[in-house]
Amino acid sequence: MFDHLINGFSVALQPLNLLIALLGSVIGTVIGVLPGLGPTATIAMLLPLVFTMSPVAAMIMLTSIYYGAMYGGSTTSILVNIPGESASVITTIDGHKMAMQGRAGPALAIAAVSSFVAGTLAVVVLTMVGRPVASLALRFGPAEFFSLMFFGLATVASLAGAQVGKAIVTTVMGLMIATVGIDLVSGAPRFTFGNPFLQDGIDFIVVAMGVFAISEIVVTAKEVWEGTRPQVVQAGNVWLSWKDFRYSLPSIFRGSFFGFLMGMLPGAGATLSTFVAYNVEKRLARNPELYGTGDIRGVACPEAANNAASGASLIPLLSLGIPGGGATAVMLGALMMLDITPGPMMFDKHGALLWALIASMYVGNVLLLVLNWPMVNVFARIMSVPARYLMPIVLVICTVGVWSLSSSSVDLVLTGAAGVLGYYMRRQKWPIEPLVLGLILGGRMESSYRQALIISKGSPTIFFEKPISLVLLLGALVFLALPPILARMKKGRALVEALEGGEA
Amino acid sequence: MVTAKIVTRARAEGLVILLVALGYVWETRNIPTLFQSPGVPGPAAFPTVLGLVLGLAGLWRLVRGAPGDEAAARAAQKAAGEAKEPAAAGAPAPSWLAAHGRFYALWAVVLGFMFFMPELGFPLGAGAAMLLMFRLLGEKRWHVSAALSIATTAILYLGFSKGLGVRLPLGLLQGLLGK
Repeated sequence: MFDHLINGFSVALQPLNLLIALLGSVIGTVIGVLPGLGPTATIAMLLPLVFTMSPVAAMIMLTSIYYGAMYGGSTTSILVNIPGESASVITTIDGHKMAMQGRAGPALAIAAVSSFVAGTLAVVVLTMVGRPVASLALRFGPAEFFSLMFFGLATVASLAGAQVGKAIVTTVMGLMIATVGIDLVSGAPRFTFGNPFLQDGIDFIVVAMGVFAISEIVVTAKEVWEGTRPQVVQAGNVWLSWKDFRYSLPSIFRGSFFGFLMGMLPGAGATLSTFVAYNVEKRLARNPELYGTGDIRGVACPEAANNAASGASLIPLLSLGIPGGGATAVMLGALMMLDITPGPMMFDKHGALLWALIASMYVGNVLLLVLNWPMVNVFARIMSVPARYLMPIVLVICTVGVWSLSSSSVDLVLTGAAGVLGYYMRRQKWPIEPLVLGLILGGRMESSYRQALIISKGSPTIFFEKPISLVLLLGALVFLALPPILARMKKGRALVEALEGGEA
Repeated sequence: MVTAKIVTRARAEGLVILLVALGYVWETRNIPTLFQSPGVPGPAAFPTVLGLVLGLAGLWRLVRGAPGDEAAARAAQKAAGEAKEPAAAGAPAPSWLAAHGRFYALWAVVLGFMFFMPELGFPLGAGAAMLLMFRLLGEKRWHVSAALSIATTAILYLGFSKGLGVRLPLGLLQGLLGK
């Protein structure tokens, strides 16, 4: 197996291919760092560049752009609290708080380092178990997928702690937004109100730019006027300390594990893995109360999960022809245009390309680390740009990001409306992340739900009869029920202590 | 006082959620059931389940209020009460316009830019929106705001339209440039 990988490296390390990987990483990072332009948009924009290249060079270019854009997306999450893509939504929770505490440098550095470590682990595991695991992933049928999505949504809702009711409402709202557009099974238009622009559905970027970016702009403006904006602490050290690295290392390993596990499931994607990994991490790690306050592990874990899942998502992409997310779907299209049809025979028919691709992923990770390490200082300086100059520019770039999707004024109106909703939600402490994840997973969840019921001839017992599905549903219930029960127990203990104190 | 306000808001939110859910479920009746096989879920099945779950959640909030929010508000009120200095007596309250004018003006600029950019065009829309936002966010010098908005608009327009091939609308300028 490692002979194939060595052959792959001999291709990926050729000077021309190295140059292509370098170029792809730089372009991907530069475009991905713009709010609203995630990996999918970046790859789609740059797709024409690769059609004249050889298949190997084209795939190296695309994977480098993909990784670069992923890192760029994390950068905006950390610096301006606007996720560049769905997989870095969870990074905003601790990443932006770190930036506000003057630790933008370490946050960006740990994002690069954890991505590198996870990418390395993913390549090693991919090399060893890629082929057998591809057949294992086939055991996941529609019922299991529905339960997996349900499990993912439940873990995110449970992040809201005692406010799990609010999280359930926002999750359902996200799922409802995902139902807008043409139904892919029957072709029936749903909730389009006769508007042709709504027939394609509502893109994640449209809503995310509203609820995250527009609301962030207004919240920041209010803080500036009221003088309540937390001052960004000017830290002396922008680099990652050895202590921080050691502190984050277990989280990186756990994030990589969950990321790889979920990434290899066809259709699960990197996004779900970050949410699940963060939540599980919060329950497994020491001092879980520090998560959400600007803890470096809160950046390391989802970034590792995201990167490991991206590597693992190549398993279903190449062996089954099923993309894990938007970006891999565009890459699948590019592969087919290059006359390469992914499928079970991919390892035999296009082995050389496949191993060159796996090797180039690793090379891409190394290049990103080398490139971004010195850039951390430059990116971190964005935090010192006064909000009065930064926020208007962010508004315009976000608007261009939304406009670039389909040049639709309906998208812009929806982004504005999502902005008002996002502002209200933030003011009244309604969790935003479940809404976004519901929107991302809604389409896949519904198609799995309907496929499962078609198989069972309408009987919902199919979700409980399949062991994997049953375990996932029980896990989801535990995640949903646990936070309110724990909160009640804590309240009860406090009451007993108060009574005992009163009696004494 | 604060607790009562929160209960009212929570109930109002519950009512809005319930109405949204009812409207959503009502709209599922307009989904055409093309090639619908009997006993198999159609295009309205999943939305109906979602609408019912949201409706139940809204009803729950409407009836129960928000116990979690009330507890949090009480704790926040207690903490604020302990930390707060007594307010200076006789200090005049700021007018509504002074207190909220900028906030609504900012929303008007943000939403106005998003809604009218396709008609106004990117250069005019972005330039005007940035100029007004620089001013609203505290840049007092007109010439600095103007120079920054013109330069940023030009850089972003050239970068996106020429560099990345994003087709940005010229809007009103289209007629002037004869394109």
